[in-house]
Amino acid sequence: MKKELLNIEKLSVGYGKEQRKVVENASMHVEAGEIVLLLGENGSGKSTLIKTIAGLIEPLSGELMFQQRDLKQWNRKQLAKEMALVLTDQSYQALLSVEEFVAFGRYPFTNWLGQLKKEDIKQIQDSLTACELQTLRHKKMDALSDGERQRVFLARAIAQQAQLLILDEPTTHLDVKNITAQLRLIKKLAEGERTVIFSSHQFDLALQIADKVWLIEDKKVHQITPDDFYNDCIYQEILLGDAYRYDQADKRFRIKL
Amino acid sequence: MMQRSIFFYALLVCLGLLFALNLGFGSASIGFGHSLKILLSGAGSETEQLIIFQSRLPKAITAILCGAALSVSGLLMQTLFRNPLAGPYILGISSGAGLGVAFLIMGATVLGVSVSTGISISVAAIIGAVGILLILLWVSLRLNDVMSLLILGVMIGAIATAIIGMLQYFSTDFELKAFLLWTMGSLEGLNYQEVSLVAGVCLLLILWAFVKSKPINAFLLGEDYAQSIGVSTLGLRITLILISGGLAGVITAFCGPIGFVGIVVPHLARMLLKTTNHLKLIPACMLIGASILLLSDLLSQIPGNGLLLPINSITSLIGIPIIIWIIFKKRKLSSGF
Repeated sequence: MKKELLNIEKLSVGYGKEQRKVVENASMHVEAGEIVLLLGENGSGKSTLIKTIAGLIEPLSGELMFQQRDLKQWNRKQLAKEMALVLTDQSYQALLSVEEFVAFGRYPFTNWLGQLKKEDIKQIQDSLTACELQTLRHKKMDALSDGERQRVFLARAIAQQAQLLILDEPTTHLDVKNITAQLRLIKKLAEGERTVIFSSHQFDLALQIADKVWLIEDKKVHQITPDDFYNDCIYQEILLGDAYRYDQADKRFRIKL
Repeated sequence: MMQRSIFFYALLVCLGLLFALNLGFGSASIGFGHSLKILLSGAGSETEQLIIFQSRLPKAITAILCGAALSVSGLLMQTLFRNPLAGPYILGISSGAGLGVAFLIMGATVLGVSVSTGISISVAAIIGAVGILLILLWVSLRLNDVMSLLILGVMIGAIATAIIGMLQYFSTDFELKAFLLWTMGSLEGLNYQEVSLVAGVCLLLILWAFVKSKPINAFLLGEDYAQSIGVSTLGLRITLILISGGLAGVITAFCGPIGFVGIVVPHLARMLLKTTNHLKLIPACMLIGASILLLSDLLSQIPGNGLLLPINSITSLIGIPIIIWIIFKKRKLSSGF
């Protein structure tokens, strides 16, 4: 049996009061090395759920166990070594070079001056290579295209050497070529025993690398497999409405005309 | 790398030069060479010694402290709010100090006492500044959003200014002038005890900021990202408010409000060093800020006739053109955030 990384029991998330609850009574679990795809409509609470799992927002109720330990018991420094995060918020500092930005991933490992040791530099270079950023490493952040910048964010998270990577929409603003490159990279990370939870609106492409799907429907989270999604119209209805269906014979999604 | 260290040496030389010029020139016409001789060898008459050691030297040191402290304070505020317009006074620290002083100078007649001596003004200003600082800390523990904090800070400052306005309306001509003089700022009149107090507090606070450079750098990624790489952002936010407010408060208490240095110098430092790393920006801000204040002080004394222009006006007159120049050169200031 594989090692359990994340165990969520009866979790409710939202902001402050009852009425702003976005997910209720969700129970999911993640094993090491899995790729979890988080699906849901705009405003269904994907980002809120992601921020809660990352410890940025306190859960309203329920249990959130990361590596068999309650998330509340983790301090920020420890957690940063085990969990890395990329959000939809694309803030960056224009004056930083790609390499300097990626170096922030080494923050939890460096001394008070932030000096980079041999190991830190190796990790930074490895993640730059993995994300195909070597040629861009001296470029300033504001000189990059959206796609390149998205890869830099991912590289920073990879340099953090965390067991769990949480990525909120790593495929937005990208063209198909860059989306597939990004997804292949995620797949490769999982093969290297890292675990990835990510959300995406490019569901048809993302489903191809996912081991597990969390589908948010009106405050509920369905934990299913990609095959469940292909085979069951109920799940497709939730995400796609009634005009877009998976065609079993054709093996692709088709618009009902 | 090489360029940066040359740059630091150049700044140091520049600071030393301005320091010497400050000691050499003043309202009393002691020649520049002669002044330095008095300073280094203790030569000269008693009066000359008095002028150099009791007036010019403490004043020059005050200028250095003032420039360094306000610049670092402004840098931290710009980082905290990720806003190029932030400065040491953005959260109403100077209005708070002003309110304290206004109460002292103009409230005195209401109470029937006259207490506006130098040290009591400093104490009143400190009480005012610390009062505002405490309100801000209290708010920042409750509001999990720096932008709301920024708006609240500005509002609190506006309230203090409004109360000052009311006090002014009911005060006598004499009190009004005394208060107005305070708002113009002054580097003069501090004795060595006061200078060492200001120096101690400022250097400690700046050292604290320097030690915190690493989390401060991470803060510029945005609070969510900073947390995700291991920074306790609430703690850091409070630290930044304490350091920045403390620096601005102590300087305002002893020198009055001194404008624009705190906003301009961080931009200058970022532009010249092309970095956002606070390990380098903090020392650079100290050197540039101190130099600019020494220069302002030099310019404030009209040679020959003993007249002294208000330092607050001079720093604004120097600061504003610099900021306009940076805007035209860089097109936008926000690229540092």
